[in-house]
Amino acid sequence: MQQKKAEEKEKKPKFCINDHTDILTEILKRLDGPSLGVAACVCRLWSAIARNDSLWEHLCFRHVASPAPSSVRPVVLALGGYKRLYMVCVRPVLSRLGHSDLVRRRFWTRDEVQLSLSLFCVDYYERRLGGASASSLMFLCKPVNV
Amino acid sequence: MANNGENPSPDVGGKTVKLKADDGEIFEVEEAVAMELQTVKSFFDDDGVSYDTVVPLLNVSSTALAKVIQYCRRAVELRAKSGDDEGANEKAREEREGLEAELVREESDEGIKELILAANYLNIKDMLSFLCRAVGDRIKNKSVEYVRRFFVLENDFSPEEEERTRNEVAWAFEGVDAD
Repeated sequence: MQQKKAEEKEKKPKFCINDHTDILTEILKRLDGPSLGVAACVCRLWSAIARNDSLWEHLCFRHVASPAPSSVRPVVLALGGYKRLYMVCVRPVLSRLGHSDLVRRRFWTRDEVQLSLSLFCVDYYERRLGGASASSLMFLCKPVNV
Repeated sequence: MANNGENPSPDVGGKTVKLKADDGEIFEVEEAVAMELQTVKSFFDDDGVSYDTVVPLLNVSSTALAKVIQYCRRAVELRAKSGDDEGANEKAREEREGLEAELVREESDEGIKELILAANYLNIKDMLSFLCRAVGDRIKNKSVEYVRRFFVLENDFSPEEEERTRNEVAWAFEGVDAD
């Protein structure tokens, strides 16, 4: 009881970790995709931090041996940003392999990232042409029953 | 209760530095260890500050400072062990990871947040890095409510905002266990 009182007394003058968006960003950088999505729903501050596209860029290329060339970034940003890249392409490409566990734990290869980037371009143009049709190439992103 | 009982690391010369925590407790540490704390290093890099000056660390509790010093002391020892030999490097790296895991395992959620703030204030990059990773691990795959409780956050979304945000990341909630 006494210790709890002492702890509570200590808490008041201390400033809170939530005052440090740089620290929060560092923590969020270490999360996987789904956890980052959950983080975005916690409160307004976290939602704003999670909207930082560089977090999603970090996520997309985290497990690739060498980082993507710097010429990739302006293209991705023009096509909708890294968060969209992750949501629309990277994550489904991984899910195709079956269990959601794999999405969280697996390291993905450069080829899978390249495929995601190609599909991302496809997604962009199909949206410009007026939404997905039956002949949409984005079927490549849908789960398959094997 | 100054930290005088501890034996200084044998490799370091006798110079020590005094660090004062927020409650006034003084910690006497070897110079090499104190310089791990970039904030302390900058303090002495200023012209004319003698090593006898007590460094006031107003934003760090004595509990946190004690742990920080303990970590840095062992980190300095481990770094001295590693050299050109890859085997020795590997062993030192494993020991350091063990040290980090040990520090983190014993900490409560509040404790670990306090350590992060201390490491940030004292500007100790490596420590901040593994602490952030540890917190990341603790909130990974957890529910929104769990994260809110961990960080003591209030849901300040309006119902419409919350629904919209959740819809944007609906895929994140597939298969997550409500804990």
